[in-house]
Amino acid sequence: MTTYKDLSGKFVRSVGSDPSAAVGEGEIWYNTSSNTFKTSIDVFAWSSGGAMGTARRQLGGFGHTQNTGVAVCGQNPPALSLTEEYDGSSWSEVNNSPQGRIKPFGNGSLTAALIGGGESGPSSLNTAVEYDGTNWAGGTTIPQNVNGGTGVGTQTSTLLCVGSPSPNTAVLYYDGSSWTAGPAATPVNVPSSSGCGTSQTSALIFGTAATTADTRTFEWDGSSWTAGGALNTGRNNGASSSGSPATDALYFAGVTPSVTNATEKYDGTSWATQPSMAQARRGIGGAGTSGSALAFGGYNGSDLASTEEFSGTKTVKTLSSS
Amino acid sequence: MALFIYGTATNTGKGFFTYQDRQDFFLSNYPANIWVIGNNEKGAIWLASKNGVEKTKAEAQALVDAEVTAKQTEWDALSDAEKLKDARPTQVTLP
Repeated sequence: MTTYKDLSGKFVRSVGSDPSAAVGEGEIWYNTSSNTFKTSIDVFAWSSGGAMGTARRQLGGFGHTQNTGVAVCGQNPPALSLTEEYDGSSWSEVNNSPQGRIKPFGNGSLTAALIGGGESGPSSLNTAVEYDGTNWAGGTTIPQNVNGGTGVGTQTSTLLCVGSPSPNTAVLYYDGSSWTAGPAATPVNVPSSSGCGTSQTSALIFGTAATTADTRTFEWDGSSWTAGGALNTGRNNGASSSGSPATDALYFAGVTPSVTNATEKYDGTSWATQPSMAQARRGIGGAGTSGSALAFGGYNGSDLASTEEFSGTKTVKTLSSS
Repeated sequence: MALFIYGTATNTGKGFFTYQDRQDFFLSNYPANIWVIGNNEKGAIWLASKNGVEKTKAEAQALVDAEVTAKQTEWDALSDAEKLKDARPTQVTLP
């Protein structure tokens, strides 16, 4: 039988009182006062953040940290061009993007981002613009119209899964100046999906269904798509911790087809259910990382301005057999 | 004892519900500013501290239904082109 010593290289310590959660991280110890085995783990939860200035759904979101999230465009219901930045406690309205867009894609950081596609009238759009943290510039023409597409990576290494107008499995690359066709189409149509990844050659796409709940996810390595771990709650129209790598993603909210507050984390192999958001919503924006994420806006019967922050605290927990 | 407390309260943003609140009691928000709160002492204190107004489950559900119905009526009045941009709001059943 494998013992704790075999696994960790040391015996389980017996202590009269618990070490601090930070000191005990990753260890198991026996508390002789309570006669229990204990450990220290990160316990996560969603808490309320500052509300956006303008309630909206179907918006774009980007930003690599919880304190540098950006909300852009969307609808309430007219198409909006408004841009707001989050500093960890409140949103500030900054320069509008050049065009109102419903369901734009967005990726990158606060100071180097790309948004595009979506719709502002009866037809979808084929334009994209860059954001440098202050100004919108560098408009480019995407080779095809994109509505509800998923952008992953950085401003100069973007993977765009076109998805819609449906059906459309096209994949495009953007290098900071021009668009080219990606080497392989997505295995299925991916409108209203979400994604995580650091570049155009390392990505994870999830929430792939057009109209019904679908648990399939797909990993991209720059040359081919392979099946990723299945979601526990199939859905689309949610949002992700857009600053995360493909092997450490957080997916939250969406439509199952009921509006959901489900949250799940991916470790590169499988998805694990996380504490739910307080507010179920769809058409939401997301930013940050899997351990420090930001969710904003969306729709739950009304257009929402509310924000939730996902974060963890190291906590001592008693181990049990159940 | 009932599992949940029902009430209305306006989300004031940062700090309205905290990480610790989420550890201490169940909390979920619905249309019409309805909050469903785990029925324990800390949950009850939270609602009171937010100047919340406690409702029965039936009262809370009626408020949600009225809000969703109003939004459905708004959606129904949209043009066909506008309707394509987003789905019709669906009914919500409180736990």
